[in-house]
Amino acid sequence: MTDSNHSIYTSARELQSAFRAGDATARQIAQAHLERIKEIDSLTNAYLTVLDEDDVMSQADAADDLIQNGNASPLTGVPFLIKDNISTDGIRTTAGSHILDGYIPPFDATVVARLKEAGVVLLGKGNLDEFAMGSSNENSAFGPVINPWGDNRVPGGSSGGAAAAVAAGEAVIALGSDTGGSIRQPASLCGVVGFKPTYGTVSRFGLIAFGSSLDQIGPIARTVADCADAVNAISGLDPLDSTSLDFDFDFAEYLGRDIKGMRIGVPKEYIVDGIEPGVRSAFEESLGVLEGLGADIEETSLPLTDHALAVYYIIAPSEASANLSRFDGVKYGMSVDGEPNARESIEAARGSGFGPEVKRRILIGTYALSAGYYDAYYKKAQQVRTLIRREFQTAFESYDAIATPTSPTVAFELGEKTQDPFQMYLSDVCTIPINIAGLPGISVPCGLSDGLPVGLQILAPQMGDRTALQIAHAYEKTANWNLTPPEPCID
Amino acid sequence: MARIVGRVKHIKSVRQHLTTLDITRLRKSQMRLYRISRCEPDFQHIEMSEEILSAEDVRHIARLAALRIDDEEVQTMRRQLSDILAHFQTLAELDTQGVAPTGHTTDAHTVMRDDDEMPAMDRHQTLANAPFVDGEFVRVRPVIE
Repeated sequence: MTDSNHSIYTSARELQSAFRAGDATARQIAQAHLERIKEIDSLTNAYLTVLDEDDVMSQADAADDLIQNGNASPLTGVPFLIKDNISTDGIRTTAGSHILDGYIPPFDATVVARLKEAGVVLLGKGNLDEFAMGSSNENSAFGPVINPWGDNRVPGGSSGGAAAAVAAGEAVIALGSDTGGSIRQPASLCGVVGFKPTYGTVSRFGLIAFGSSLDQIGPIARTVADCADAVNAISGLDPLDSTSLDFDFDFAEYLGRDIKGMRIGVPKEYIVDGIEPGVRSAFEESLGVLEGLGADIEETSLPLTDHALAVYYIIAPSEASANLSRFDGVKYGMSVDGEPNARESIEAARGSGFGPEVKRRILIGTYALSAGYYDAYYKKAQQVRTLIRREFQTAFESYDAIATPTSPTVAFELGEKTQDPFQMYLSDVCTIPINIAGLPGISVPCGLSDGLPVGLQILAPQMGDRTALQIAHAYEKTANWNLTPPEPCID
Repeated sequence: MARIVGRVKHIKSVRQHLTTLDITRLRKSQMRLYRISRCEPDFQHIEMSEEILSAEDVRHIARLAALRIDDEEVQTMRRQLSDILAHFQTLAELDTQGVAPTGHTTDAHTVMRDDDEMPAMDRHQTLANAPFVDGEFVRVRPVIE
């Protein structure tokens, strides 16, 4: 077990040195991961689709060729999971929903095409809340993911499969998507690193849209450096996404620089009512570590934080209700036969294909956008969105970065919050404002509370991604948690 | 107290002449009245829904969204959506007069591409995912009866 643990609980950077030194081949690493998936995925349910061994091995062989020829990128030969709302050519893509039953994308998302160019080894597709709507992965049409840290604990969501797979050694890096915290919150609950870059830095082409002005693809990995390397590979202008940004910097550029004299604000509103004491103390200890590294930590206030949840749950469902209108069971996906006319067929397909949370959000969004309510809900929310952006802009005139807990709780029990949608929404209270303002945010493990991981979130202004990564990296190196869930993961 | 009762009755009688936006505002004032009325035992006879949406509202929204939902779902959604909408009322506290709405957080602008000829997906590949196909076409149920 020690040997195989060595092959699976590793980072992409460690793998590259091992490849270069001839200590390991991409083929061996891929094999070890497929074995790990066989061993453990029936317990975690992190993967919805695992690629055929032949397919995985031919990717690994191609990676080994690149390494042999000296053409390796930082991601060559690195085993990846892709969240299943990101389109993969010829590989079924479900978005965690039955409405896409039978659908096989005829194209790759831009991020997938770029990972293939980088020579990664794609292992399969990760479980998620249906259409990325959820905070616990319990809204998947294919059953919940189980957090490797605790029997009967949720992994968070919506990128629950991505986070659980990385935590359990079933992948080295995973791509997730983050609309209101869907990368950072599960990363926090599973004890791994999750990075949502600035809105627009990564192309959304081929990501099945949820809230287009909020959605952003990003990595979940075991280290901050791996996150930076992954975003370097997938980011940049894309003619197929008109909201993608034209910029040129290396996300890893500031890694290793010290953070002495950096000003970090801690907004008191993020220490919400109901924050668990263990989360609070782990967070406060992490602030002590940052202070020990020379950062200036100062309490600050972002009073509009309390309104972010309402803004989010108007804007995101509104955009979702428009985006999800494309699913009609006509051109692809689930269809029903025998209805008297086209309208009834579409209503029937959508009625049986979508799960309860997706229906709930489509209805909220349709209501908020409907004649007579638009100004009171949607326009009002967009105006408050402007105020929230301004509040962050003002804060970043005084601070280089902002530190908060990623989630007010550790991983909760399955079923604990499913009866009350609003309680579930509160799980994202610390991550949602960042999407509203389009900021970069990273969650890095900062200890355990009752044996379950806690996350520290670092925020930076738009295009300040390198600063967020720099601080997270400095913290990670000093705190040195290296969290690995108990083995066997679940008994 | 009688004044409040009178106002509630008035609200109900004029409701049919109001625009939906006015109804949103009225519902807010109904909620306030309801909160007042809850403190007063005399007012328990007033029939007033705590819920923002009626079952018919939910059915109407579902029709707009082309979503078939059964009666049980209508009742659950009515309760849950009303709950969620009630939380949204907190935004009314904020003064947003003259504030420009944010649709996008970056300075996104309209991007034009060159009008070049580019390869398109072939028909076979395009139709491969369609559940019902008839030759070169996607088959649907009648649109006009």
